[in-house]
Amino acid sequence: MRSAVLSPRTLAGLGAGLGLLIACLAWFVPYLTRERENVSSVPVPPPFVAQVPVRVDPGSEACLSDVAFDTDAELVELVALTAPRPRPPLEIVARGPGYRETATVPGANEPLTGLYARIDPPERSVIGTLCISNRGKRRINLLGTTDARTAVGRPVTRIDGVEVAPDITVRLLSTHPGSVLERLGELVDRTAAFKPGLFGAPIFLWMVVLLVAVGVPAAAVYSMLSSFRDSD
Amino acid sequence: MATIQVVAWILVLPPFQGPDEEAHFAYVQHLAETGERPGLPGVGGRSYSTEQAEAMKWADLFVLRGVLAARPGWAEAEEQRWREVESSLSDEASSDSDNNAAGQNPRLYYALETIPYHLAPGGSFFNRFYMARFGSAVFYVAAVAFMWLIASELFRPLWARTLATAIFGLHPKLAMLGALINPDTLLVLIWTAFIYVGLRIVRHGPSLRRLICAGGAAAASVLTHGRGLAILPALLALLGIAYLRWRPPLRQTLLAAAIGLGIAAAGLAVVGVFTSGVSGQGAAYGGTIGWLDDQSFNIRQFLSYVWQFYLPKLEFMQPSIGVPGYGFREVYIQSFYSDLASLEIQYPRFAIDLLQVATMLLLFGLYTVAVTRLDAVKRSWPTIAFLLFTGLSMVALLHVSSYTTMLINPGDPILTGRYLFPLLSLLAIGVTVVVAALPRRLGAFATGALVAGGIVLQLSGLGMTFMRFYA
Repeated sequence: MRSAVLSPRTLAGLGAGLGLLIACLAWFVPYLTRERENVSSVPVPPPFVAQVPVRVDPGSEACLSDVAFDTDAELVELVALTAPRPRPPLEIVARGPGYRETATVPGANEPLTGLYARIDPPERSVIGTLCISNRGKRRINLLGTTDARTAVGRPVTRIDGVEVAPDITVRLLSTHPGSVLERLGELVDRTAAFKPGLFGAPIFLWMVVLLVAVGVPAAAVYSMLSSFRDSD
Repeated sequence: MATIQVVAWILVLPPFQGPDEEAHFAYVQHLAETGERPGLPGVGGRSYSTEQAEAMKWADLFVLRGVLAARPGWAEAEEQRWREVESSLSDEASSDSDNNAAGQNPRLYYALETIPYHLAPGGSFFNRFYMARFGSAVFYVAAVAFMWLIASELFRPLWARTLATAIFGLHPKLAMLGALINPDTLLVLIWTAFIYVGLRIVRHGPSLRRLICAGGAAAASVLTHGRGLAILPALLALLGIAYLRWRPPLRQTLLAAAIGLGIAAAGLAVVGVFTSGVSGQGAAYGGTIGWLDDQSFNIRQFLSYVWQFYLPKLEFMQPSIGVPGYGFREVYIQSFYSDLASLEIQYPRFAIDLLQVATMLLLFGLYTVAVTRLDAVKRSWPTIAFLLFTGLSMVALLHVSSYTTMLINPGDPILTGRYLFPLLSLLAIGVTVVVAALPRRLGAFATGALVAGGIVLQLSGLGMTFMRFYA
């Protein structure tokens, strides 16, 4: 009886089970259930090397071209690089074929801060233009990038119609954050983008998710336990 | 299991998000479309075809590389726009790249990759791209199969073979690399196959078929990458050990040497046909082996660098050349297991610390086994000597290359963990030897824990990558 309980196979199973249990409790479950922000798209990410201010004078309008507005784009996030003095109000206009949304970011005093403008997302995703107009009496410096890693994306920044070197850093966010487990379906749908044929089919991707999450651990542990059969 | 893992990595990693994948694909595309090798880096012209550049633009892949805050395109409108752009491109848009950052690499891997590239159904860009990835994944799965053969050659108990193969197959970064378009995967397969054939030779004698296979592996290695040259000293060591172990008659010895070295030399000759010498842009491997006739190579400085790479600086030593603090942990632990995608996805620090402790325990375990089982070590000297020489050959080449690169640019040590993957089977063998030497029940428990560790690393690596790109 004792030898069966403490057989190599049992001990190997115990080692694997303990290892997986500890990893699940200490790492996987907290990681998968933690609430995270929901990024809809990132037209221009923050700079990798150095911050570059993009100056928008009173009455001026900065526009980014070829911005993708997805059906969950509900917040426009910009970053102001303003000295500690009142920041002017901004008008944000998102537009594309069959889509136009306007929002306002009120003026304030915070020096370095994220600016958020609430917009209604389009019913179907569109590629369009995002414009930021300075409606105040002071200039504002927005965070921009010129570095070779982050300023090579699709959008081009123009101020009053003139192309400028730095691209304004912009993210579009959803107002529905959630954990990985809560948003798993959405994340799998995103994975399907730009994948041809079968590889982009949701059912295929779900099969792979299941095979990886359950099949790989089960197969590895089963193979390992089976290999001890001859040494019991 | 290896197939499921590598398929998952192929699907989770957006295009061009592995080390230099955009350059390797551009090489495959240029070769497939024109039949010619692309130009060397820095010569001028376009690095990618118009088609690849447009695909990267509309799928938001340019800014994604290594930038954690960036995300790939996933909006339906972006896909739709890309389809419109793709249908408007001319045939020349697939073949108009000029220079290539990987242009110095020999053609073997890229030529093999043109097969799945041409087999892609429908002919769309992403079809061809993913077919090329799947083509490369075959090399990874084959490497896992060779690891099983190595384990079967060395270990009798089934659990030991399973453990060795699990260590190899569950390595997260190797599985990631297997999913990418990168000649390193073929190099891993070639070296794993070479080690298997080498073990057969030293343990069972040098037959004609085995010698042809060893020579063929050596030729394939030098035709795949500059780092593959390290197989030549390993081949010489193999032939020397085989001679000492089996003492064949002179005629047979000469024949064996001629076969093994002749095939490898043919591989070198093929590389030489396309190049001139070892130095300069047009030379073999784009001049990356220019250190062979480098006059500035200082042996004292090199030895000091190698010492300080692994051990603390001694009183009389000058500070090492290169990036301060870049040594054993960064190469053998951090970038060997972690730094996924374009290096930006990293395991938490506690995981890296645990892996470092496990590695130190492994080294201590191997030393203890060697000391306590000296008779067994003496009996197995041909096997141990072959494995040691093979490992040292690659590590020595990496250090020499790193040192000579740092003579020109001290800020770029070039040496990174994935360059050690051709030797991953040695790690798997080492771990299994130590576990097999433990008391039976403790060994069984350790086997279970190690397999669980591999599963956890694999799943967490995939999970972190999935989150990084799509959350």
